[in-house]
Amino acid sequence: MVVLMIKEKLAKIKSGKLTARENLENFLKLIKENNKINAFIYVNKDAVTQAEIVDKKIKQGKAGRLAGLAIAVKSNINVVDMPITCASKTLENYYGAFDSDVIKKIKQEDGIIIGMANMDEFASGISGESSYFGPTINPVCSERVPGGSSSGSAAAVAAGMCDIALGSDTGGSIRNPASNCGIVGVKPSYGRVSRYGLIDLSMSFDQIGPLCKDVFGCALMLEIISGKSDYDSISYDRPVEKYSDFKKINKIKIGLSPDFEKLCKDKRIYNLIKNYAEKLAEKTNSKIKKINLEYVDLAVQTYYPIIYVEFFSGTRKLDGRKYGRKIEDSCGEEVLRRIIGGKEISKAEYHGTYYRKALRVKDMIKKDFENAFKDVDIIISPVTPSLPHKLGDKINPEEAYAFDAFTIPANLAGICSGVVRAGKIDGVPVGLQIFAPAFREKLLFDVMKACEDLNI
Amino acid sequence: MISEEKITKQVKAIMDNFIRALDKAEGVKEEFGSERKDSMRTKIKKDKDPSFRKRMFRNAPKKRDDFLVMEKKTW
Repeated sequence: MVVLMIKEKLAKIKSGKLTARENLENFLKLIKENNKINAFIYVNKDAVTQAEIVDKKIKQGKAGRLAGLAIAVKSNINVVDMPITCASKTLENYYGAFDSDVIKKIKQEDGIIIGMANMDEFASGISGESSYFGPTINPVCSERVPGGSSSGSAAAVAAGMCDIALGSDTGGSIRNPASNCGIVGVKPSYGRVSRYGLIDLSMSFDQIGPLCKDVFGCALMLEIISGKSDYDSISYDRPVEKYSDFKKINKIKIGLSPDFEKLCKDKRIYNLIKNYAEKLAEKTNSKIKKINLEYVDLAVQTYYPIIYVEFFSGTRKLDGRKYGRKIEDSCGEEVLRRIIGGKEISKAEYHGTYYRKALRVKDMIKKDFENAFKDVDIIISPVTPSLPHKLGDKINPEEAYAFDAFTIPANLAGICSGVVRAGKIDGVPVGLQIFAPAFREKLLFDVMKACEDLNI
Repeated sequence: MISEEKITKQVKAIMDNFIRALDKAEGVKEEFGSERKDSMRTKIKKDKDPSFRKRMFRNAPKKRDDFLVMEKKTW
Protein backbone atom coordinates (compact mmCIF):
# COMPACT_ATOMS: atom_id res chain seq x y z
CA MET A 1 0.00 0.00 0.00
CA VAL A 2 1.32 3.43 -0.92
CA VAL A 3 1.47 5.71 2.11
CA LEU A 4 0.13 9.16 1.28
CA MET A 5 0.77 12.27 3.30
CA ILE A 6 -2.42 13.78 4.70
CA LYS A 7 -2.50 16.79 2.37
CA GLU A 8 -2.12 14.56 -0.70
CA LYS A 9 -4.74 12.13 0.55
CA LEU A 10 -7.29 14.90 1.20
CA ALA A 11 -6.75 16.17 -2.34
CA LYS A 12 -7.21 12.65 -3.73
CA ILE A 13 -10.43 12.15 -1.77
CA LYS A 14 -11.75 15.57 -2.75
CA SER A 15 -11.06 14.92 -6.44
CA GLY A 16 -12.76 11.50 -6.30
CA LYS A 17 -9.59 9.52 -7.06
CA LEU A 18 -9.95 7.81 -3.71
CA THR A 19 -13.30 7.40 -1.98
CA ALA A 20 -13.79 7.65 1.77
CA ARG A 21 -15.12 4.09 1.65
CA GLU A 22 -11.96 2.80 -0.06
CA ASN A 23 -9.81 4.66 2.44
CA LEU A 24 -11.63 3.12 5.39
CA GLU A 25 -11.68 -0.35 3.86
CA ASN A 26 -7.91 -0.26 3.32
CA PHE A 27 -7.36 0.57 6.98
CA LEU A 28 -9.86 -2.02 8.25
CA LYS A 29 -8.11 -4.71 6.19
CA LEU A 30 -4.75 -3.72 7.63
CA ILE A 31 -6.11 -3.72 11.20
CA LYS A 32 -7.46 -7.25 10.68
CA GLU A 33 -4.22 -8.51 9.17
CA ASN A 34 -2.03 -6.97 11.90
CA ASN A 35 -4.09 -7.63 15.01
CA LYS A 36 -0.91 -8.72 16.84
CA ILE A 37 0.02 -5.04 17.18
CA ASN A 38 -3.04 -4.71 19.42
CA ALA A 39 -3.43 -1.02 18.61
CA PHE A 40 -7.22 -1.11 18.90
CA ILE A 41 -9.51 -2.22 21.70
CA TYR A 42 -12.58 -1.69 19.52
CA VAL A 43 -13.06 -1.21 15.79
CA ASN A 44 -16.09 0.77 14.60
CA LYS A 45 -18.43 -1.63 12.81
CA ASP A 46 -20.28 1.26 11.18
CA ALA A 47 -17.16 2.95 9.77
CA VAL A 48 -17.82 1.89 6.16
CA THR A 49 -21.47 3.00 6.29
CA GLN A 50 -20.36 6.34 7.72
CA ALA A 51 -17.75 6.63 4.95
CA GLU A 52 -20.47 6.11 2.31
CA ILE A 53 -22.42 9.03 3.81
CA VAL A 54 -19.27 11.18 3.63
CA ASP A 55 -18.75 10.13 -0.01
CA LYS A 56 -22.22 11.47 -0.82
CA LYS A 57 -21.40 14.77 0.88
CA ILE A 58 -18.13 15.00 -1.08
CA LYS A 59 -20.04 14.56 -4.35
CA GLN A 60 -22.44 17.31 -3.29
CA GLY A 61 -19.50 19.57 -2.42
CA LYS A 62 -20.67 19.82 1.20
CA ALA A 63 -17.94 17.84 2.96
CA GLY A 64 -15.85 19.10 5.86
CA ARG A 65 -12.10 19.55 6.25
CA LEU A 66 -11.46 15.99 7.46
CA ALA A 67 -13.73 14.37 4.89
CA GLY A 68 -12.97 10.69 4.50
CA LEU A 69 -10.05 10.52 6.92
CA ALA A 70 -9.92 7.69 9.45
CA ILE A 71 -9.39 8.87 13.02
CA ALA A 72 -8.34 6.58 15.88
CA VAL A 73 -9.35 7.74 19.36
CA LYS A 74 -7.67 6.95 22.67
CA SER A 75 -9.97 4.89 24.87
CA ASN A 76 -10.33 7.62 27.52
CA ILE A 77 -12.13 10.07 25.22
CA ASN A 78 -15.91 9.67 25.12
CA VAL A 79 -17.46 8.71 21.80
CA VAL A 80 -21.17 7.93 21.86
CA ASP A 81 -22.01 4.21 21.77
CA MET A 82 -18.38 3.06 21.72
CA PRO A 83 -16.64 1.28 24.61
CA ILE A 84 -14.67 3.83 26.65
CA THR A 85 -12.71 1.37 28.71
CA CYS A 86 -9.60 3.39 29.63
CA ALA A 87 -8.01 -0.02 28.87
CA SER A 88 -9.23 -1.17 32.27
CA LYS A 89 -11.25 -4.01 33.73
CA THR A 90 -13.02 -1.34 35.81
CA LEU A 91 -14.67 0.21 32.74
CA GLU A 92 -14.67 -2.90 30.57
CA ASN A 93 -18.40 -2.62 29.93
CA TYR A 94 -18.77 1.17 29.89
CA TYR A 95 -20.13 2.71 26.68
CA GLY A 96 -19.91 6.41 25.91
CA ALA A 97 -23.19 8.20 26.55
CA PHE A 98 -22.17 11.36 24.69
CA ASP A 99 -19.57 12.74 22.30
CA SER A 100 -16.65 14.69 23.75
CA ASP A 101 -16.20 18.22 22.42
CA VAL A 102 -13.28 17.08 20.26
CA ILE A 103 -15.31 14.22 18.78
CA LYS A 104 -18.23 16.55 17.97
CA LYS A 105 -15.81 18.80 16.08
CA ILE A 106 -14.23 15.88 14.18
CA LYS A 107 -17.64 14.56 13.17
CA GLN A 108 -18.73 18.04 12.06
CA GLU A 109 -15.72 18.06 9.71
CA ASP A 110 -16.61 14.57 8.41
CA GLY A 111 -13.74 12.67 9.98
CA ILE A 112 -14.66 9.02 10.57
CA ILE A 113 -13.91 7.38 13.92
CA ILE A 114 -12.28 4.08 12.98
CA GLY A 115 -11.99 2.75 16.51
CA MET A 116 -10.92 3.08 20.11
CA ALA A 117 -7.17 2.77 20.60
CA ASN A 118 -5.35 0.76 23.23
CA MET A 119 -3.52 2.62 26.01
CA ASP A 120 -1.98 2.20 29.43
CA GLU A 121 -4.68 1.55 32.01
CA PHE A 122 -6.25 4.90 33.00
CA ALA A 123 -3.35 6.65 31.18
CA SER A 124 -1.11 5.61 34.07
CA GLY A 125 1.97 4.34 32.31
CA ILE A 126 4.89 5.13 30.07
CA SER A 127 5.25 1.88 28.13
CA GLY A 128 1.91 0.74 26.69
CA GLU A 129 2.22 -2.53 28.61
CA SER A 130 -0.34 -1.99 31.38
CA SER A 131 -3.57 -2.34 29.38
CA TYR A 132 -6.12 -4.86 30.67
CA PHE A 133 -6.50 -5.81 26.98
CA GLY A 134 -2.82 -6.70 26.59
CA PRO A 135 0.25 -4.69 25.63
CA THR A 136 0.54 -2.66 22.44
CA ILE A 137 3.37 -3.71 20.15
CA ASN A 138 5.65 -1.09 18.61
CA PRO A 139 5.14 -1.51 14.84
CA VAL A 140 8.53 -0.04 13.91
CA CYS A 141 10.62 -1.75 16.59
CA SER A 142 8.76 -4.77 17.93
CA GLU A 143 11.22 -5.77 20.66
CA ARG A 144 10.92 -2.34 22.34
CA VAL A 145 7.85 -0.84 24.03
CA PRO A 146 5.82 1.66 21.97
CA GLY A 147 5.66 4.09 24.89
CA GLY A 148 2.61 5.39 26.65
CA SER A 149 0.15 6.09 27.68
CA SER A 150 -1.28 6.79 24.18
CA SER A 151 0.36 3.59 22.94
CA GLY A 152 -2.44 2.39 20.65
CA SER A 153 -2.89 5.84 19.07
CA ALA A 154 0.82 6.02 18.20
CA ALA A 155 1.02 2.39 17.05
CA ALA A 156 -2.09 2.76 14.87
CA VAL A 157 -0.54 5.78 13.11
CA ALA A 158 2.91 4.19 12.76
CA ALA A 159 1.43 0.94 11.40
CA GLY A 160 -0.67 2.86 8.85
CA MET A 161 -3.97 1.77 10.42
CA CYS A 162 -5.49 5.26 10.46
CA ASP A 163 -4.76 8.74 9.14
CA ILE A 164 -4.67 10.69 12.40
CA ALA A 165 -5.10 9.66 16.03
CA LEU A 166 -6.13 11.47 19.18
CA GLY A 167 -4.22 10.94 22.39
CA SER A 168 -4.15 12.64 25.75
CA ASP A 169 -1.03 14.06 27.38
CA THR A 170 -0.68 14.63 31.12
CA GLY A 171 3.08 14.26 31.48
CA GLY A 172 4.19 13.08 28.04
CA SER A 173 1.58 10.51 27.02
CA ILE A 174 1.41 11.77 23.43
CA ARG A 175 5.05 12.75 22.97
CA ASN A 176 6.67 9.67 24.49
CA PRO A 177 4.92 7.11 22.20
CA ALA A 178 5.27 9.46 19.21
CA SER A 179 9.03 9.42 19.78
CA ASN A 180 9.24 5.64 20.29
CA CYS A 181 7.13 4.93 17.19
CA GLY A 182 8.87 7.49 14.95
CA ILE A 183 5.87 9.73 14.29
CA VAL A 184 4.72 13.31 15.04
CA GLY A 185 2.77 14.23 18.19
CA VAL A 186 1.64 17.46 19.81
CA LYS A 187 0.65 18.46 23.33
CA PRO A 188 -1.26 21.73 23.09
CA SER A 189 -1.03 24.53 25.66
CA TYR A 190 -3.16 23.91 28.74
CA GLY A 191 -6.63 25.24 27.95
CA ARG A 192 -6.20 25.21 24.17
CA VAL A 193 -8.43 22.15 23.67
CA SER A 194 -11.61 21.37 25.58
CA ARG A 195 -11.30 18.41 27.94
CA TYR A 196 -15.05 17.88 28.06
CA GLY A 197 -15.57 14.14 27.65
CA LEU A 198 -12.01 13.17 28.54
CA ILE A 199 -11.82 10.78 31.48
CA ASP A 200 -9.30 12.64 33.56
CA LEU A 201 -5.98 11.51 34.95
CA SER A 202 -4.98 14.86 36.40
CA MET A 203 -7.24 17.85 35.75
CA SER A 204 -4.44 20.43 36.11
CA PHE A 205 -2.37 18.93 33.32
CA ASP A 206 -4.52 16.84 30.92
CA GLN A 207 -4.74 17.95 27.30
CA ILE A 208 -6.04 16.14 24.22
CA GLY A 209 -3.77 16.33 21.17
CA PRO A 210 -3.07 14.81 17.74
CA LEU A 211 -0.64 12.15 16.48
CA CYS A 212 0.09 11.69 12.79
CA LYS A 213 2.83 10.65 10.39
CA ASP A 214 3.27 14.23 9.22
CA VAL A 215 3.21 17.72 10.72
CA PHE A 216 0.39 18.86 8.41
CA GLY A 217 -1.98 16.19 9.79
CA CYS A 218 -1.31 17.23 13.38
CA ALA A 219 -1.66 20.93 12.51
CA LEU A 220 -4.96 20.41 10.71
CA MET A 221 -6.39 18.28 13.53
CA LEU A 222 -5.36 20.78 16.21
CA GLU A 223 -6.90 23.62 14.19
CA ILE A 224 -10.18 21.73 14.28
CA ILE A 225 -10.28 20.59 17.91
CA SER A 226 -8.95 23.82 19.49
CA GLY A 227 -11.06 26.55 21.00
CA LYS A 228 -13.19 27.64 23.91
CA SER A 229 -15.96 25.36 25.11
CA ASP A 230 -18.78 26.26 27.46
CA TYR A 231 -18.45 22.76 28.90
CA ASP A 232 -14.81 23.17 29.99
CA SER A 233 -14.26 26.18 32.23
CA ILE A 234 -10.47 26.11 31.84
CA SER A 235 -10.57 26.26 28.02
CA TYR A 236 -9.37 29.66 26.87
CA ASP A 237 -11.16 32.01 24.54
CA ARG A 238 -8.28 32.78 22.22
CA PRO A 239 -8.37 32.87 18.44
CA VAL A 240 -7.29 29.67 16.70
CA GLU A 241 -4.76 30.43 13.98
CA LYS A 242 -4.44 28.44 10.76
CA TYR A 243 -1.71 26.14 12.01
CA SER A 244 -1.56 24.14 8.77
CA ASP A 245 -0.75 27.25 6.71
CA PHE A 246 2.99 27.03 7.42
CA LYS A 247 5.23 30.08 7.45
CA LYS A 248 8.90 29.68 6.65
CA ILE A 249 11.09 29.97 9.73
CA ASN A 250 13.94 32.47 9.51
CA LYS A 251 16.33 33.91 12.08
CA ILE A 252 14.86 32.58 15.28
CA LYS A 253 16.59 31.99 18.60
CA ILE A 254 16.73 28.33 19.60
CA GLY A 255 17.26 27.51 23.27
CA LEU A 256 19.31 24.52 24.42
CA SER A 257 19.77 23.83 28.10
CA PRO A 258 22.80 22.16 29.70
CA ASP A 259 20.32 21.04 32.38
CA PHE A 260 18.79 18.72 29.78
CA GLU A 261 22.21 17.29 28.98
CA LYS A 262 22.70 16.40 32.65
CA LEU A 263 19.33 14.62 32.75
CA CYS A 264 20.03 12.57 29.61
CA LYS A 265 21.20 9.10 30.69
CA ASP A 266 22.07 8.00 27.15
CA LYS A 267 24.40 10.73 25.89
CA ARG A 268 23.93 9.49 22.31
CA ILE A 269 20.38 10.86 22.48
CA TYR A 270 21.55 14.30 23.62
CA ASN A 271 24.24 14.41 20.93
CA LEU A 272 21.71 13.46 18.26
CA ILE A 273 19.37 16.24 19.41
CA LYS A 274 22.20 18.80 19.63
CA ASN A 275 23.38 17.97 16.10
CA TYR A 276 19.81 18.19 14.84
CA ALA A 277 19.37 21.61 16.48
CA GLU A 278 22.59 22.80 14.80
CA LYS A 279 21.35 21.65 11.39
CA LEU A 280 18.00 23.36 11.98
CA ALA A 281 19.77 26.58 13.00
CA GLU A 282 21.98 26.47 9.90
CA LYS A 283 19.08 25.83 7.54
CA THR A 284 16.91 28.61 9.02
CA ASN A 285 19.66 31.20 9.64
CA SER A 286 18.92 30.89 13.31
CA LYS A 287 21.05 31.05 16.43
CA ILE A 288 21.40 28.56 19.26
CA LYS A 289 21.46 30.07 22.73
CA LYS A 290 22.28 28.39 26.00
CA ILE A 291 19.47 28.75 28.53
CA ASN A 292 19.22 28.09 32.23
CA LEU A 293 16.32 26.07 33.65
CA GLU A 294 17.21 25.92 37.31
CA TYR A 295 14.40 23.73 38.61
CA VAL A 296 13.76 21.50 35.58
CA ASP A 297 15.61 18.59 37.18
CA LEU A 298 12.84 18.51 39.80
CA ALA A 299 10.04 18.04 37.27
CA VAL A 300 9.40 14.35 37.98
CA GLN A 301 9.49 14.81 41.76
CA THR A 302 7.12 17.78 41.44
CA TYR A 303 4.69 16.12 39.07
CA TYR A 304 3.96 12.82 40.82
CA PRO A 305 2.69 14.12 44.19
CA ILE A 306 0.28 16.38 42.27
CA ILE A 307 -1.01 13.70 39.92
CA TYR A 308 -1.31 11.14 42.71
CA VAL A 309 -3.67 13.52 44.53
CA GLU A 310 -5.63 14.55 41.45
CA PHE A 311 -5.94 10.97 40.19
CA PHE A 312 -7.16 9.81 43.58
CA SER A 313 -9.75 12.59 43.55
CA GLY A 314 -10.79 11.91 39.93
CA THR A 315 -11.28 8.19 40.47
CA ARG A 316 -13.65 8.54 43.44
CA LYS A 317 -16.54 8.39 40.98
CA LEU A 318 -15.46 4.88 39.99
CA ASP A 319 -17.11 3.21 42.96
CA GLY A 320 -19.05 0.64 40.94
CA ARG A 321 -22.42 2.29 41.39
CA LYS A 322 -23.09 4.24 38.22
CA TYR A 323 -20.70 2.41 35.94
CA GLY A 324 -18.22 -0.38 35.89
CA ARG A 325 -16.56 -1.95 38.89
CA LYS A 326 -15.03 -0.40 41.97
CA ILE A 327 -11.61 0.71 40.78
CA GLU A 328 -9.60 -0.55 43.78
CA ASP A 329 -11.04 -4.04 43.28
CA SER A 330 -10.28 -4.29 39.60
CA CYS A 331 -7.24 -2.20 38.69
CA GLY A 332 -3.61 -3.01 37.95
CA GLU A 333 -0.59 -2.24 40.09
CA GLU A 334 0.35 1.23 38.83
CA VAL A 335 -3.23 2.51 39.05
CA LEU A 336 -3.49 1.21 42.61
CA ARG A 337 -0.12 2.79 43.45
CA ARG A 338 -1.40 6.19 42.31
CA ILE A 339 -4.67 5.81 44.21
CA ILE A 340 -2.92 4.77 47.42
CA GLY A 341 -0.33 7.53 46.93
CA GLY A 342 -3.05 10.14 46.46
CA LYS A 343 -4.96 8.88 49.47
CA GLU A 344 -1.85 9.05 51.66
CA ILE A 345 -0.78 12.51 50.48
CA SER A 346 -4.31 13.84 50.94
CA LYS A 347 -4.31 12.92 54.62
CA ALA A 348 -4.42 15.96 56.88
CA GLU A 349 -1.21 14.91 58.63
CA TYR A 350 0.75 15.21 55.36
CA HIS A 351 -0.86 18.39 54.10
CA GLY A 352 1.89 20.72 53.03
CA THR A 353 4.67 18.18 53.24
CA TYR A 354 4.10 16.80 49.78
CA TYR A 355 1.35 18.52 47.87
CA ARG A 356 1.91 22.18 48.68
CA LYS A 357 5.65 21.81 48.30
CA ALA A 358 5.11 20.28 44.88
CA LEU A 359 2.78 23.14 43.89
CA ARG A 360 5.46 25.67 44.88
CA VAL A 361 8.10 24.01 42.72
CA LYS A 362 5.62 23.70 39.85
CA ASP A 363 5.33 27.47 39.96
CA MET A 364 9.11 27.84 39.87
CA ILE A 365 9.42 25.57 36.82
CA LYS A 366 6.76 27.65 35.08
CA LYS A 367 8.73 30.81 35.87
CA ASP A 368 11.92 29.13 34.61
CA PHE A 369 10.29 28.72 31.21
CA GLU A 370 8.77 32.22 31.21
CA ASN A 371 12.23 33.66 31.83
CA ALA A 372 13.83 31.44 29.20
CA PHE A 373 11.29 32.52 26.59
CA LYS A 374 12.35 36.17 27.14
CA ASP A 375 15.66 35.22 25.49
CA VAL A 376 14.68 32.54 22.96
CA ASP A 377 11.75 31.77 20.67
CA ILE A 378 11.69 28.02 21.12
CA ILE A 379 13.51 25.41 23.22
CA ILE A 380 14.74 22.06 21.94
CA SER A 381 15.24 18.96 24.07
CA PRO A 382 15.25 15.17 23.88
CA VAL A 383 11.93 13.38 24.51
CA THR A 384 13.24 10.59 26.73
CA PRO A 385 16.49 10.29 28.71
CA SER A 386 17.20 6.79 27.38
CA LEU A 387 15.97 4.42 24.68
CA PRO A 388 12.65 2.66 25.38
CA HIS A 389 13.07 -0.54 27.38
CA LYS A 390 12.53 -3.99 25.94
CA LEU A 391 8.99 -5.32 25.97
CA GLY A 392 8.42 -7.34 29.14
CA ASP A 393 11.48 -5.99 30.99
CA LYS A 394 10.73 -5.22 34.63
CA ILE A 395 11.56 -1.68 35.71
CA ASN A 396 10.78 -0.14 39.09
CA PRO A 397 8.28 2.75 39.41
CA GLU A 398 10.94 5.45 39.91
CA GLU A 399 12.82 4.31 36.78
CA ALA A 400 9.55 4.35 34.85
CA TYR A 401 8.64 7.83 36.10
CA ALA A 402 12.06 9.14 35.03
CA PHE A 403 11.22 8.39 31.37
CA ASP A 404 8.99 11.49 31.42
CA ALA A 405 11.69 13.83 32.78
CA PHE A 406 11.81 15.85 29.52
CA THR A 407 8.11 15.88 28.74
CA ILE A 408 6.64 16.69 32.18
CA PRO A 409 8.06 20.29 32.25
CA ALA A 410 5.70 21.34 29.43
CA ASN A 411 2.69 20.13 31.42
CA LEU A 412 3.89 21.82 34.61
CA ALA A 413 4.48 25.09 32.72
CA GLY A 414 1.24 24.85 30.68
CA ILE A 415 3.14 25.49 27.44
CA CYS A 416 2.80 23.71 24.08
CA SER A 417 5.22 21.11 22.87
CA GLY A 418 5.64 18.87 19.84
CA VAL A 419 7.72 15.88 18.78
CA VAL A 420 9.22 15.12 15.36
CA ARG A 421 11.49 12.30 14.18
CA ALA A 422 15.16 13.01 14.86
CA GLY A 423 16.72 9.74 13.73
CA LYS A 424 17.49 6.28 15.03
CA ILE A 425 19.92 4.85 17.59
CA ASP A 426 20.53 1.08 17.48
CA GLY A 427 17.58 0.89 15.07
CA VAL A 428 15.23 2.50 17.62
CA PRO A 429 13.39 5.71 16.62
CA VAL A 430 14.36 8.79 18.61
CA GLY A 431 12.25 11.95 18.66
CA LEU A 432 13.14 15.59 19.11
CA GLN A 433 11.01 17.78 21.34
CA ILE A 434 10.23 21.45 20.70
CA PHE A 435 8.79 23.69 23.42
CA ALA A 436 7.04 26.95 22.52
CA PRO A 437 5.39 29.50 24.84
CA ALA A 438 1.76 28.99 25.85
CA PHE A 439 -0.66 29.57 22.95
CA ARG A 440 2.15 29.92 20.41
CA GLU A 441 1.08 26.74 18.57
CA LYS A 442 1.48 28.52 15.22
CA LEU A 443 5.18 29.08 15.90
CA LEU A 444 5.50 25.51 17.19
CA PHE A 445 4.05 24.06 13.98
CA ASP A 446 6.16 26.32 11.76
CA VAL A 447 9.30 25.05 13.50
CA MET A 448 8.09 21.44 13.38
CA LYS A 449 7.49 21.83 9.63
CA ALA A 450 11.01 23.26 9.20
CA CYS A 451 12.32 20.16 11.03
CA GLU A 452 10.29 17.85 8.81
CA ASP A 453 11.68 19.60 5.74
CA LEU A 454 15.24 18.86 6.89
CA ASN A 455 14.50 15.27 5.83
CA ILE A 456 16.70 13.70 8.49
CA MET B 1 -2.48 -10.73 43.71
CA ILE B 2 -1.37 -7.17 44.40
CA SER B 3 -0.33 -6.51 47.99
CA GLU B 4 -1.86 -3.24 49.13
CA GLU B 5 0.44 -3.15 52.14
CA LYS B 6 3.53 -3.54 49.96
CA ILE B 7 2.37 -0.79 47.60
CA THR B 8 1.62 1.58 50.51
CA LYS B 9 5.17 1.12 51.83
CA GLN B 10 6.61 1.55 48.35
CA VAL B 11 4.60 4.73 47.70
CA LYS B 12 5.73 6.26 50.99
CA ALA B 13 9.35 5.52 50.11
CA ILE B 14 8.94 7.07 46.65
CA MET B 15 7.27 10.18 48.05
CA ASP B 16 9.95 10.57 50.74
CA ASN B 17 12.66 10.40 48.06
CA PHE B 18 10.82 12.93 45.93
CA ILE B 19 10.19 15.32 48.76
CA ARG B 20 13.85 15.23 49.80
CA ALA B 21 14.72 16.27 46.25
CA LEU B 22 12.23 19.13 46.43
CA ASP B 23 14.08 20.50 49.45
CA LYS B 24 16.39 22.09 46.86
CA ALA B 25 13.61 24.58 46.34
CA GLU B 26 13.35 25.34 50.07
CA GLY B 27 12.77 29.01 50.65
CA VAL B 28 10.68 29.43 47.52
CA LYS B 29 7.89 31.81 48.39
CA GLU B 30 4.40 30.40 48.32
CA GLU B 31 2.11 32.23 45.97
CA PHE B 32 -1.55 31.55 45.67
CA GLY B 33 -4.17 33.16 43.55
CA SER B 34 -5.94 32.87 40.25
CA GLU B 35 -4.41 34.11 37.03
CA ARG B 36 -7.74 34.14 35.29
CA LYS B 37 -9.77 37.32 34.93
CA ASP B 38 -12.93 35.38 34.24
CA SER B 39 -12.88 32.75 36.94
CA MET B 40 -16.65 32.57 37.27
CA ARG B 41 -18.45 29.93 35.30
CA THR B 42 -20.83 31.49 32.82
CA LYS B 43 -24.31 30.10 32.53
CA ILE B 44 -24.71 28.03 29.42
CA LYS B 45 -27.65 26.70 27.53
CA LYS B 46 -27.12 22.96 27.50
CA ASP B 47 -28.25 20.82 24.60
CA LYS B 48 -30.66 18.34 26.05
CA ASP B 49 -30.05 14.99 24.43
CA PRO B 50 -33.09 12.85 25.28
CA SER B 51 -31.09 9.66 24.76
CA PHE B 52 -28.37 10.63 27.26
CA ARG B 53 -30.22 9.37 30.35
CA LYS B 54 -31.03 6.07 28.66
CA ARG B 55 -27.45 5.59 27.52
CA MET B 56 -26.00 6.49 30.91
CA PHE B 57 -28.46 4.22 32.70
CA ARG B 58 -27.41 1.36 30.43
CA ASN B 59 -23.95 1.53 32.01
CA ALA B 60 -25.14 0.97 35.57
CA PRO B 61 -24.19 -2.48 36.82
CA LYS B 62 -27.34 -3.01 38.92
CA LYS B 63 -30.68 -1.32 38.31
CA ARG B 64 -34.37 -1.81 38.94
CA ASP B 65 -37.00 0.12 36.99
CA ASP B 66 -35.77 3.67 37.04
CA PHE B 67 -33.31 3.33 39.92
CA LEU B 68 -29.72 2.28 40.55
CA VAL B 69 -29.49 -0.57 43.02
CA MET B 70 -26.86 -0.23 45.73
CA GLU B 71 -26.14 -2.25 48.79
CA LYS B 72 -25.76 -0.32 52.01
CA LYS B 73 -22.34 -0.16 53.66
CA THR B 74 -20.50 -1.28 50.56
CA TRP B 75 -19.37 2.21 49.66
